[in-house]
Amino acid sequence: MKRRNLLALGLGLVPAVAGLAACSGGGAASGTGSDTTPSKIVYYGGWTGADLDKMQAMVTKYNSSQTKVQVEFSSLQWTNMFTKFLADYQAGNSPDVVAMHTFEIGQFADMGVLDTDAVAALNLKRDDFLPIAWDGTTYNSKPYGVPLDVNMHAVYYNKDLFAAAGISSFPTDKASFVAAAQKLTVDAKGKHPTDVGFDAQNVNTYGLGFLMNHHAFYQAYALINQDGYNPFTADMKSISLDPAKMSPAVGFLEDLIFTQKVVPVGEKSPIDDFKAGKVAMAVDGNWQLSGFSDVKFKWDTAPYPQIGAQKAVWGAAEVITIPKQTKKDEKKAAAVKDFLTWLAQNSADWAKSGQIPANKASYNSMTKLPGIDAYIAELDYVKFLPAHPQATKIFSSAAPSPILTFAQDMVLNDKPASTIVPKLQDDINAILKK
Amino acid sequence: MRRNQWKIAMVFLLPYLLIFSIFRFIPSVGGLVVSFFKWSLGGDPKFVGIDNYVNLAQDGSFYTSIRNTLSFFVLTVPVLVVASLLLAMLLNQKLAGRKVMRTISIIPYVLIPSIVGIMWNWMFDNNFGLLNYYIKKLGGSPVFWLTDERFALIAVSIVVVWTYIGYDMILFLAGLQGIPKETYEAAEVDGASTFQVFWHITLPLLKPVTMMVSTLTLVNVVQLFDQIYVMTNGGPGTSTLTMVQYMYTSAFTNYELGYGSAIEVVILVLLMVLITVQNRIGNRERKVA
Repeated sequence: MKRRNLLALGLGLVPAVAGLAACSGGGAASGTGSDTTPSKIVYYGGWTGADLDKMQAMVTKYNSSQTKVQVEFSSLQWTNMFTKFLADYQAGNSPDVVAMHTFEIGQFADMGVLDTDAVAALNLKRDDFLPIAWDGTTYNSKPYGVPLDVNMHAVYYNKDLFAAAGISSFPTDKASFVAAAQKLTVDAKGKHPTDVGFDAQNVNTYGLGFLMNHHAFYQAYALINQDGYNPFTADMKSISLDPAKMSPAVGFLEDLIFTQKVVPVGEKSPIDDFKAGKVAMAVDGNWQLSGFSDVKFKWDTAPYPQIGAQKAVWGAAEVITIPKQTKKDEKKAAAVKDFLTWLAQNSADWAKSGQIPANKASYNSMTKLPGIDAYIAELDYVKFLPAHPQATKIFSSAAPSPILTFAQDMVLNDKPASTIVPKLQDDINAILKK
Repeated sequence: MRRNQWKIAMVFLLPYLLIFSIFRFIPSVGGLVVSFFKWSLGGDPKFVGIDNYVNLAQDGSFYTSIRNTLSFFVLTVPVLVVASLLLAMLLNQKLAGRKVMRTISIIPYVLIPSIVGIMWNWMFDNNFGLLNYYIKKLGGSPVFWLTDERFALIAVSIVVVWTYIGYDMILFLAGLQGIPKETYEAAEVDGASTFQVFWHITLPLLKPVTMMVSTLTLVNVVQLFDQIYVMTNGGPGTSTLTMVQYMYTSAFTNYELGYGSAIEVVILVLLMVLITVQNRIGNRERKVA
């Protein structure tokens, strides 16, 4: 059965999806009348926080900078946006440009919904972009997007609390990092976890905070990379995970919570806890940087600590892709090229959202937000997740994704690596087998 | 029924039947059709026969979602039916402020579910939440409501009971007010105790309402999505992964529309079985009575 026929029948789950598509206002309604009519470009993004406002401002700036192209930008939470994108695509109403992360490219490229030829026609040059960002846009040796930015984990830290604890500089290795976290963890009676009588049930300030969801897996991913182990590849047909090699990473994160007691159990929002002074350090991304204007205490960021043999930190890059269209429209293709070229060259403004622009010219001319330097320092060793065709299933943030189950078994349930690593392997292989 | 009456009835029924057909019946039949396809939404659908159902039968996460859904049902439906009946009986008494209390009871039901989820997320927060604050004040150890797999489903169940109790109470209240006062007066004259009145008059006469409340509650609970999505997103691990949650993830996160539709069909069958069993029990008790 043809997919259109199935969609047209309005069957099952499809009407719900098609309903989403109907809400879009239509990506096909391009301004292709006379030559003086501006081309309309429909642009989907997945930003929902402060970065949404920044992207909207950039689009508005582009729209007012010329009269030939008008960009209609809309943004939903990433997963919902992708569903809407695919529903629109099926309805022959595809958006003209779609933002996504590099690791998601493989899945959409394999579905055949992305136009690599249109990206190639932009004639972008590798030298114009940060290498790590550029390389992330390539899948099966073909370009699939315009690099927009790079983001990653680092550590936010409260300089006032550091000073009060007598810590003069940010710890950079395992021993000093754990020691600092212990010093910074203070219970209601002023005792630390290393003191006799420390009351773990009544802690005023924790030394460290981090997300207990898929981001906990990202930390484990960074830590195994620090030990030189990375079995996750873009072309894996099955995976074999070594519990012994993942044990140090799992053990380190679990010990911080359950043994050293320097991390709140089941923490929901480390960045909010950090801003409230409830945690002294927080592992989080550079997308949080734009939300620090009203924080009263002195703070800074530091690169993710080196716990293993070498430096490594989890990161991701955002790219702008061009979906395939049912009808070739030269005028619109030219409009897309104009917009994406402008976006790449003017992404210095995007740095106001805390992101690191992927375009070198924008990168060099950006106004740096306070705290961005630690992230920039990590560019040389940031590790992306692979753009595997099943990446959105394997690395999904929603249950029962393999990495989420693994992460929560680790940081919430304190299960040993010998149990959770084989389960992660089995869960991933079950997806890869389909 | 005479022909004219039929026509009038159809005029009133038609808008509902039209909406029901477009948004409920046709999609349900459609879901059945899609369940026989492998379809990523991005590519062409491919007919795979019963493969999706065979895969479901071998899917550990699917069994987890069934177990969680049934646990969720057991944790919420009996509590909701009993508690809302007791609340309705209380608010049916001539107490001062009962009208205000009735209104307050229904407020959780009319709140937007995602707001309810966010609000309770803060209440349940391990370290800084209101519940653990009082537990610690009373000398207890904090409960990791939403992050410990032993408690997460219970925590979500508490929120569901809090949300639906007012709605179920209103239904019971309507039932209670439909019981003729003369029946109670006769029982009083005969010297029946409060318990005897409840057991032999109130409960039997409320049976149709009880059946309706329990059926509606069952459907609401099995189909519940919003609060779980906001509060736990199926976690920690898979401890609050319900069938509806799994259907959503399969269809809209993993882009396996056929697989998601197969789960939808199983949910429909499960609901039909549970409602049939529930009705059978109700009817059997009615016959015995």
